[in-house]
Amino acid sequence: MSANTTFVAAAFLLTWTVILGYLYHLRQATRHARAVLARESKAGAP
Amino acid sequence: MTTGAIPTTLSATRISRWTIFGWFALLFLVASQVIAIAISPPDRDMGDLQKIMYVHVPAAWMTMLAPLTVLVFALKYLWTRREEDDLLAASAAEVAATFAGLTLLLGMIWARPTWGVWWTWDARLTSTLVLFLILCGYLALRAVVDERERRAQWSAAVGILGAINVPIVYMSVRWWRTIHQIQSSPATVDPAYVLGLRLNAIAFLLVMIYFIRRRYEVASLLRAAEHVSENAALRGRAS
Repeated sequence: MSANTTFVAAAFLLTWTVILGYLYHLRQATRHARAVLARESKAGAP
Repeated sequence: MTTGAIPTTLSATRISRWTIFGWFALLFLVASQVIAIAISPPDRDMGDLQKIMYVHVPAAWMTMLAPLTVLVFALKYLWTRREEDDLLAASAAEVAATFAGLTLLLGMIWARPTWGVWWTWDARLTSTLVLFLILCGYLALRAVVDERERRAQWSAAVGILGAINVPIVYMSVRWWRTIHQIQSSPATVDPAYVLGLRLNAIAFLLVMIYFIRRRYEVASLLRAAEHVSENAALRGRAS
């Protein structure tokens, strides 16, 4: 693998790491937010 | 401040529609990258390094487009005081910061083999870094200010400041002719690379829209939880 190919591969790998990493973060944040809403709804029910 | 339109639940149909949109965006991105790499010949000067353009340039465009989205919703918030606009601006700001960070890192990966350095205080690089830091400041501000209306107003002001920086980032390569090349666009790149660049720009745009929508969903759910908690506290105080 040439040095140039290594830099190209690194760029694409970084892009996919950021995209999939942010997607994972959003997925976890959605789960957390749903759990918080469910908990508050249960606690706040008259 | 109006808060009535913040949903307490999200309809399953809407979530499902956005999930399909997200999968479409990801698959479109995969296809765009495969097509771009497959059809583009090595550049005369840079060889295969040119292929970094298919991720760096679309990421840079989103870095400029997302703060403009922040600007639209920040102004809308200041005009209407609708809480959804504040949440949409904040969602776009987080996505903008993500793309700005990605753009800077991809630029460093491209700079090392072409310029011989990872970083230089070129006008384009520096103005993009400033934009990234403003966006980080926006997110930090939202994390430290508790009072909702004040947080929304202050962050709208910072969001507008970030958006003002966007034309400076865009024009920096013409105003200060340093090491970074002028703007890459279908008009300035070789015709052999236009299709790949266009496809990847559309793919990044779809991904950015999906990110903002998903982030807004999270923010709406958390706000709905806060509303429930506040209403329960008010009921408890009244009884």
